[in-house]
Amino acid sequence: MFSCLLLLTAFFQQPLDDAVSFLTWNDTHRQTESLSWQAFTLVSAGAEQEARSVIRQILVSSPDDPDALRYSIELDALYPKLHSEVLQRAFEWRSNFSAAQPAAVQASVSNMIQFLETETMRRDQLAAKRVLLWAAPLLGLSSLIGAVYFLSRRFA
Amino acid sequence: MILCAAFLAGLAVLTIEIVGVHWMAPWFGASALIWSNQIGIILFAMAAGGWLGGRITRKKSSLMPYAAAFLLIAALYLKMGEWLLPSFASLFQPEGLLLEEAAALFFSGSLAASIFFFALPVLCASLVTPMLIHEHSTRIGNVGQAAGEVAAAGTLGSLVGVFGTTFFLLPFGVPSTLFAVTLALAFAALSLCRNRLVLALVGVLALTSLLVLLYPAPAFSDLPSQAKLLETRTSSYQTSRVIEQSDGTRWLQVNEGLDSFQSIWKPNSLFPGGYYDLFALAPVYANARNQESFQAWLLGAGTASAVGPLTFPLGDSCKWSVIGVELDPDVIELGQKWMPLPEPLAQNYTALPAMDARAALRVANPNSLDCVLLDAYANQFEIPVHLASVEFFSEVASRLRDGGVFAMNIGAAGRGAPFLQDALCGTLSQVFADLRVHRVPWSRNRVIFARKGLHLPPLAGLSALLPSGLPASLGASCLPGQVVDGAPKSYCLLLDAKNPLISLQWQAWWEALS
Repeated sequence: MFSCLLLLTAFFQQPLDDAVSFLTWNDTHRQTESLSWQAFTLVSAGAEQEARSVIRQILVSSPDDPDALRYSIELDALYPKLHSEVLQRAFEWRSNFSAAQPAAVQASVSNMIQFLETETMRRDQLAAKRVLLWAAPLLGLSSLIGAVYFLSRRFA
Repeated sequence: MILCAAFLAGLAVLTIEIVGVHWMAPWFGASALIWSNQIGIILFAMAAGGWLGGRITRKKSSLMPYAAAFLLIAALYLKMGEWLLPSFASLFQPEGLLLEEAAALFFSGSLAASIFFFALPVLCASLVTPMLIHEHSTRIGNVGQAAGEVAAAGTLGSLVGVFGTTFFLLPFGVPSTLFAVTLALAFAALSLCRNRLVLALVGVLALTSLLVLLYPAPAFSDLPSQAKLLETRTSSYQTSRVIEQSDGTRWLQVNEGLDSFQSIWKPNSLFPGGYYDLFALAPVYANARNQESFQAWLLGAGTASAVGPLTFPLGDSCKWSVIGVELDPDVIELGQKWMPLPEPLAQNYTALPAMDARAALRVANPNSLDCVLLDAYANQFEIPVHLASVEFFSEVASRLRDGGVFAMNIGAAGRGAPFLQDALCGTLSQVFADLRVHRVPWSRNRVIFARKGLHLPPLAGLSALLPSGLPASLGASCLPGQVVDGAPKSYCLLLDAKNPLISLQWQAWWEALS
């Protein structure tokens, strides 16, 4: 009776409800789900490696799958070094697929693009700051040596 | 009066050295590299000051007015620096800078700040020493004795500066410490000479001090966007602040803030998110879920963010106790005030303040603990080396019962991360029977679990061991792709006597920047 109850509970639980539901879904139901649903669930829970594997499978059979491309953009956006390239892909995605997507998905991609644009701009500004890495200590040191030289000439 | 001035100048130099690092810490941290920068620059300034002072004694006959003026210039410059340093430091911390991008900027910025803000005052305070020796020797007629007495007075002053700054002045805050240094330099100057120039400089110094008092400089780096500052405190160890995000989440940030935190608190939730949630696996791995009692130590407890996840899997009938070790008492107080544990948890949690984690753990009975968690990141970048060695891990294991679990959080980004992870895992494998690394979803962190004497439960059956109600992201972190099992084949062994952890960590962060 108890195990029946557990089974029923498990049946009505969604994979993203909690860790047990997620792992149970992964162990017992995942293989029977569509690849798209698998990718969505894995990306939502943060299982990056597994999600990438599923996304690759989708893209092999359907290279222009909008969901897989969107998830791939979402995962790659975790890595700052890929931001410029991911931004380009996000723009392409929006121009190719956005119109046919639900409003929530369109909004989510727009937010992603906004985030990537801000990040890219911020990283460009950071790159400009790199001159400080060497210039500031060198300027400081030469100023200090200059001050010592000045004082030695002025007072000594 | 000459020896008094030497004493005060010596006190000022060491106080500037120590308070300088604490002053810069909100922007650059207070890591070993920052300390090295500061000590190196101070020593350079002292050497330059000694050389210059010696040359001045050759040319000038009446030295005391010069000595007094230099001491006052040092004080004045230091006081003006109180205004300027925050703006200068902010140049190295552009808005939105991420922790993994910051290492090189921190190193370079702290070096430049040491040169610009501390070298000149120390140079000025140091160059009076030869003048004082010269003057003293003229008065007592013996150069050797004069040099010895002035050097002794200066060194005693430095001694008082070291202990006084750390134990007495810094708890009152950096501005109060800077004010004390300024006062010491002004007294030293006035004890040497009271001519018009000196009195005028004292007047300017007083005016500057008043202005700084009326318009104080910001004491901490910028807040993250949309965050609200709840409280800031400065202790002998660090500057800490609690900030609140727009969704009610609160962060405890220590020294440099950026996008990271030392502890996190969410209203109405036991799971603060990130790597903290993964600590719920520790009692599961220790097979402690259905035990009648459970004992754990949390090393580097912060505001006890890990207690909620750690105790969640335990049964209702389990009598548990968690002891949290935290170096800085201010952090514990901030936690109790702004990030309180829910009442049932707070009753069974004890915070041990002002204790080093390794020393404190020796108090625990051997073979008594179910879990030990280590979350003792210092300066955002560094796991303290004495908390990551074969010897320390052996001490941890000696406190754990058979089957007990040790867990530690590591944060690393970039190509250097695997080296860091391998070094820690390899070193742990020397002591523990089994270990496993979980990647934290949406994060740069990983959590290592190591079990004493027994193997960890296999991943395949983990869902049967977990209680319901844990976050789904924790489940995601238990999938095979997110986990590395066992020790690496090759690694750098970390020992008390030879521990390259700092360079490994900096390598990881530096590579992330480049």
